[in-house]
Amino acid sequence: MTKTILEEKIAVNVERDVTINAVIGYHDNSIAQDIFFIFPPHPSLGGDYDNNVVSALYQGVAREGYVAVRFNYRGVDSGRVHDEHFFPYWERLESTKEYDLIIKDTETLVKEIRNNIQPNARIHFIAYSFGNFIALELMSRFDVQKFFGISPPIEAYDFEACFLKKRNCAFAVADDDIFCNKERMQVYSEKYNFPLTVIETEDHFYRGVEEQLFLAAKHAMGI
Amino acid sequence: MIDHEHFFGTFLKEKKNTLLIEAFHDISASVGIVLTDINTTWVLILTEGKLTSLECDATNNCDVYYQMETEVFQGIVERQFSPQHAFFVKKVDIKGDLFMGMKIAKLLDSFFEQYPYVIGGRG
Repeated sequence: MTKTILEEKIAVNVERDVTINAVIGYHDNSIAQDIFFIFPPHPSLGGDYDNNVVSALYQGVAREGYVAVRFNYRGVDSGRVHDEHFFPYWERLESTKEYDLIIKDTETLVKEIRNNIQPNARIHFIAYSFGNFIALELMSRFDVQKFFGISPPIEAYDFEACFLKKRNCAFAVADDDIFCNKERMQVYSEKYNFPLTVIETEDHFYRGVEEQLFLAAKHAMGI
Repeated sequence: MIDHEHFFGTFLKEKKNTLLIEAFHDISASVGIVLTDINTTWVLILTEGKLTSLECDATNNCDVYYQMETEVFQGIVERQFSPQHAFFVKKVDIKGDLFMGMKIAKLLDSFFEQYPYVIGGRG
């Protein structure tokens, strides 16, 4: 019988007048010892916690009896960051690739949620697209047990340093993904010794294969 | 059902050469809205956030195409769902420059919020 997923919405204040929102999912028998944080894509590219991949992974993790957390980056919910519309704000961040504030926001969110649920909980990251960039940067700030990255945009960001340093990571890539070339990821997989799953799907967006993607995450993370 | 000729030919045409949404002033692209069930394509040229050209059934080679049924287009215009959500559930297909396509989807979402169009009420 499918268990009903219970949800709590929380707002985390990360800066004066800047709040980021998260949704925590679990069911009656969920174990609070493991918390899975799901990192969404870039806000300019449909990156919010209602994204199809984020939603599917969130639902899947919660169904398995763990605590799942999906969240939005700053500006996504309110449409603004301070007095600036979120779109040019994020375009400016993208032009400079200076995402320190976003990394700091997410660090604050992870700390606050873990402290509120269970300070000793094991934490795990699942990241999709741009979310990989933020999540991998955060790996050094937390004792992340398992990491599953979906389509890190290697054509837009340099991930090689992250691949070199990180352990306990597994990745998935689409068969034909203009933002994450499968062949390049296969080379990285061999060079840096991480498991790589190739999902047969048409592009970066995994439409219609979300369940398959979750099963790949489930297998790779042992959940 | 939405009258696409009125929506594009009158409602949208009235907004030509005005900056549609300030936040998107950097966007320049040619966009094709393909209504697949009636085999009709509207081509919009955006220049620095302004709609500078609007034609029906043009044979332009667009940077990005949004392909959908008229019913889905109506749902987006009425803000029943966002263009991004329609894409993620495969009600809309984006062809061409996917990166630009996703950005313009955000612009469209903001546009329909700022400039509501009432079906039947002729905007």
